[in-house]
Amino acid sequence: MQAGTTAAKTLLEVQDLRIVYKQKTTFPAADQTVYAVNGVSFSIRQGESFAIVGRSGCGKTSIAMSALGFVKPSAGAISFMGKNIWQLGRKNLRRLRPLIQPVFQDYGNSLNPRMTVNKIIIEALRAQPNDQTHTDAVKQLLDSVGLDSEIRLRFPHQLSGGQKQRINIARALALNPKLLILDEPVSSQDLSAGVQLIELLNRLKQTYELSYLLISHNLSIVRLLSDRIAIMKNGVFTEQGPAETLLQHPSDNHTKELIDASNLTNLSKTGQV
Amino acid sequence: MKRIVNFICLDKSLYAGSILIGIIILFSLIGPFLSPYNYRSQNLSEALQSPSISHPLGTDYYGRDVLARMMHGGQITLGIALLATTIAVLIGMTIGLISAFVGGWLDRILMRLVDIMLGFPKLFVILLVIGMGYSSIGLIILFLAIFSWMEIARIIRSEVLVIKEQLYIKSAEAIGLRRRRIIFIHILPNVMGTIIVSSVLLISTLILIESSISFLGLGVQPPNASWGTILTEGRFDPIGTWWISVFSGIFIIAAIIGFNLIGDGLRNILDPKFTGNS
Amino acid sequence: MISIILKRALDSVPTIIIGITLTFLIVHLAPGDPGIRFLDPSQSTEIQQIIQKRFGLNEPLHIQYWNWVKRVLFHFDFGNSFYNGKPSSEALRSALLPTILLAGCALVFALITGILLGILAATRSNTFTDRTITIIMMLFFSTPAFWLGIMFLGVFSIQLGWLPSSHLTSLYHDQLNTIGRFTDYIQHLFLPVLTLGLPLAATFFRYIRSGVIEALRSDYILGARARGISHNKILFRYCLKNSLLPIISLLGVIIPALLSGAVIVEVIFSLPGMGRTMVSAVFGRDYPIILAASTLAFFAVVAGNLIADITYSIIDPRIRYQTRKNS
Repeated sequence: MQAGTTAAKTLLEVQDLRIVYKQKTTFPAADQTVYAVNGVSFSIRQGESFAIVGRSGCGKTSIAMSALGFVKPSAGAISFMGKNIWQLGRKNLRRLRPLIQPVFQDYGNSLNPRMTVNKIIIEALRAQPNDQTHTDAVKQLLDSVGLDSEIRLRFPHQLSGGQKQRINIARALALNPKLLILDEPVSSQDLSAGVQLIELLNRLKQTYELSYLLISHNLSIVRLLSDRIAIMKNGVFTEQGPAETLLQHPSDNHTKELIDASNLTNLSKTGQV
Repeated sequence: MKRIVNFICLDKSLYAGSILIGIIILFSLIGPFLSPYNYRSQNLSEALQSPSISHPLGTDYYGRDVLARMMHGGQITLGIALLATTIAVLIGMTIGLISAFVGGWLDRILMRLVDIMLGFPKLFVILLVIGMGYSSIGLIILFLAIFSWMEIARIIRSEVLVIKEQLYIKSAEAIGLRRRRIIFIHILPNVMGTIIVSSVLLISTLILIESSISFLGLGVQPPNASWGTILTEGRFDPIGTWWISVFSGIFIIAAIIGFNLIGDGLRNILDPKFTGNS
Repeated sequence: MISIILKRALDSVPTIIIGITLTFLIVHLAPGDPGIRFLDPSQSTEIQQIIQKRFGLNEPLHIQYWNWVKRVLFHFDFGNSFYNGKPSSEALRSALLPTILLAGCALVFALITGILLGILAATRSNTFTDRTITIIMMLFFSTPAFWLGIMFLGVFSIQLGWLPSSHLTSLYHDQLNTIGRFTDYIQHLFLPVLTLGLPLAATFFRYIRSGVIEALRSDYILGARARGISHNKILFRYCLKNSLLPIISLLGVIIPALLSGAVIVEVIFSLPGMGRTMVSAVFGRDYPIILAASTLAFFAVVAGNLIADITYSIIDPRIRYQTRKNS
């Protein structure tokens, strides 16, 4: 599967990224600096799916927020299609943004509570010229994420968790993005729905020629979705490599721990499916 | 129209308040066309009559029909309160939004201004300003607004700061929408509920303040009359001319209660704990 | 703790400075110069100028301002009243007592009434008693002080003649013995305190009622009840303490409101207090008195806020100065 992609262009390139949070304390005046990300480099090629795996608090979400243009890096560069997104200026960054779309973990909170599903997706469709009438485009998008078009007229609080997540994905797709950043796309609570979602994501990746940046703590889910995996701990990558190699021959202890933890949940869940 | 009626029926206090305020507004706006008397035409031969069939609310010292004066007073009182609230909300919204979005030193200065102005004894200062001779209706409206926008600015700032960090706003940013669109289409509608509730409650506060000042004889000046001005005319003989002070007081109280009820009702509906379908 | 108080006190300096400067400007830029106001329009301009000079109104505004500030800061001299030539500070000192008496009694009355009725309504929530009290309090909450005052005056003083209608003391006050003077004060203050206190009691009532109802439902109260702590102890120890917190944070708003309310009540009942002094000074363009009264009012409000903050941080150690300011 990777054979053809070696020639593909690099989409996202992260070089020696550092993100520092200052915790301000007025009294006594001693500012504390917390290194969320401390020198991380990786690249994602077109059509590739890259996963960052680590326990919560390891800094993986900070990388995602920085790649989305929300958290300014303290040092290092994030380039998208050859342009450093933090040197673009506000206007050019805004033009680039549709190409990198997030699907946040808290998908319930990612939908404006005062807008219908229709309006939410149309807000995204407005960002680019579209031949179709908006309603048709919305219906088509909902269909492609496996939702009934009736759902269009509902408000977010009238939807189930899974539906909300799919609407998040549909909204992202409305912009014809190149890269989707998926933060914990599959919750470990509900594996049967998770399997369906993984199938959907893999299918969408094919049809829309997408690349994924996955953020997760669960290796057993990530292995079904990604080509390459990086293991992250305390702000640095401890190990990165092709998914199967990394999972079968982990060189780092932390990786082994994560694999053990995932296998445990995997076994207990798949036993019931 | 039907949707508005349905909305009002969602909450008991909203329903009661809307009816009360509706009646008062109709009374003040349409009343003068139905009344045979003019609010300023004097008839000394009919001075100080107690309520009767020809003058349901009696007459005042100059023989003017109190009912007609109440209608006119309603226009003045409600007009002043509504306009001043509108101006205050506009000022408060602008300053709150600027504070939340620009941040930094401008935010600190603006919030400092809010703190300072909230520290003023409100009625005292308004009384001073208006009492010192700025008592035309336009200036009364302006000064009421200038001393009332602070709470709204503060509420909007803190709400926007919270909403700004919500993921649905982050998503809107990630879409690449312009900042103006994010503020006005995505953020403001989510703050609107709070703005409406606090402005409705502000209306009743301003009715109270305006009538207090007019009652002291410093506010709305003759020949115009707000309910507070009318009340003052009956103040020196609360028994002998009871109808003047009792009826004008009832109108003031009814308007204040009405707006308070609407405000409470709206707050109940907009409260996340409320389990109705929107 | 002391640093917090100091910081708060420093924070309020701009409020006072800006407030007083604003008052000065409003007063001096307002139409209606006292020099002209009390003269026959046919008088010559020379006499006008003599009067203006006498009051110090002929100089440029910034010099007038600076002179006023200097006199206040270094000599505690607010200037003499344009009317009777007596120092303004003297006039205000005699006006302070009635206002403090009135506002203090009204606050105590409102607290007691609000708390007792609030608890009563909360423990009987959604019964006939609760609804009746709530509706009556809603009425008082929405009733302007001036109307309440006029109605009380009309019914109890004029119609029934039970209580005096004006002034703080009777004419023969000085001839009375101690008990007689005390009852004389009470008789004169009863209606004003009621007028000022009832709307405030209604405000307190709303907070106490909803606070106690919420507290009674909370887990830790259920826990306390399960441990067999007596009903009254639960009510007054646990519930009340929690519901008092928002009221204390309200003190900062209540003190200016009391001052404002006192203006109206003093005018209605002809009490020789600050508010009445202020209103007649505004009517008569008595600049020194207006400025002195405003200065005092600003200080009172700032002091009130300070007291509210300190009380709050003593009662609830969780809430520190910083978090309160940001909220």
